[in-house]
Amino acid sequence: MTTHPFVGELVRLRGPRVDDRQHMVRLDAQVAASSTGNAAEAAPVPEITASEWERRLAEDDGRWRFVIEALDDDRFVGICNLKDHHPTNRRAAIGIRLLEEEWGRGFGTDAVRLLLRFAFDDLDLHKVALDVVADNDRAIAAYERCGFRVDARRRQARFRDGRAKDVLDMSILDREWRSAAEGDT
Amino acid sequence: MSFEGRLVRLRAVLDEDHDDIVAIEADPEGQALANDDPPLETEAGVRSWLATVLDKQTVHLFAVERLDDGGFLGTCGIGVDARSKVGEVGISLRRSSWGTGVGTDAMRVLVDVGFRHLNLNRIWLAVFSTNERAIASYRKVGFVEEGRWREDVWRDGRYIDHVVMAVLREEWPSTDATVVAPS
Repeated sequence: MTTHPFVGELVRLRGPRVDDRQHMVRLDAQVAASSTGNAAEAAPVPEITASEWERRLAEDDGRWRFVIEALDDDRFVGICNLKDHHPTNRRAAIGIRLLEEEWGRGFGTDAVRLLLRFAFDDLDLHKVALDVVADNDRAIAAYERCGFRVDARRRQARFRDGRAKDVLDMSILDREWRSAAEGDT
Repeated sequence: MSFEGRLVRLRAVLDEDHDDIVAIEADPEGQALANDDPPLETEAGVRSWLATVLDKQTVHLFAVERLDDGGFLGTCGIGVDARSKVGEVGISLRRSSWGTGVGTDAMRVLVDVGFRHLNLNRIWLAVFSTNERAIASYRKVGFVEEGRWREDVWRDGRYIDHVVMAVLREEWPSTDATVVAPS
């Protein structure tokens, strides 16, 4: 059986398309209502226009941006990216956002695993990092399943829902990912 | 507007400071400990960084000078994320002043500016794990270690950690730093 590098057990990662705009509108609307989000500010944003979306598809801001599709019916379930790539430090960060109706299905864990394979096997990175609001238990559990560990707890780094929340900085090193991957085979 | 501590004064950066700043940033010992990203390696890079930073609304950069004789020591600054009421601080002083207490005093004044005048809730920094002198200084000011970004930076043939330290408004006692109007 051949394995495709961007196909996992539940999801595949693909490049964003023009017709993903409608899904981005839904995703943006959900972020405003969400208290788990990582953005410093969660507020409704103007609906992204077709021309803005096309411009964003064409621009190269140094990020690798992916759409996450469910394998069973190819539907859009979210987006993820690899960003803040520092070649000398061989480090990058990941971000991921799923539609709320797709939470709890294992899609996030599977997508993050695919991102890590790309980061370590294709980009030959030393470390992949992320940050997450400390009360986002579901996301933290998924990251830990993928091998991430907590490096630091930045206290009161975000204000949301009437209080200052801590943010966790997590990371996984290449040797940790490799020994976990070997353990799977 | 300037802000005074016990040993130093923080004031606005002037055009006549720029050459001194370039010289301080060019010091290789300082560069080894500086975690600027990207590193400020050339004179052009330093001048370009200065121009950008002085223009930015969200960064407050100060010149640090000795209280007794006005001697120029270097710069320190605070970058503000207004939505989260968070400030990230940094300091870069001439090597001859290291170990004399001026860095600790300047950082104390800077943090006080952040809480008292910028109405921030959290002030933080990330410092190389190899920079023990700075870490000790920040501890004296009241910064608490929140963790380490492991193997975060490649320097001189190996990966080193970034130590993350922060102080919260609720932890900050009032200090004797005062606002001094320009004379």
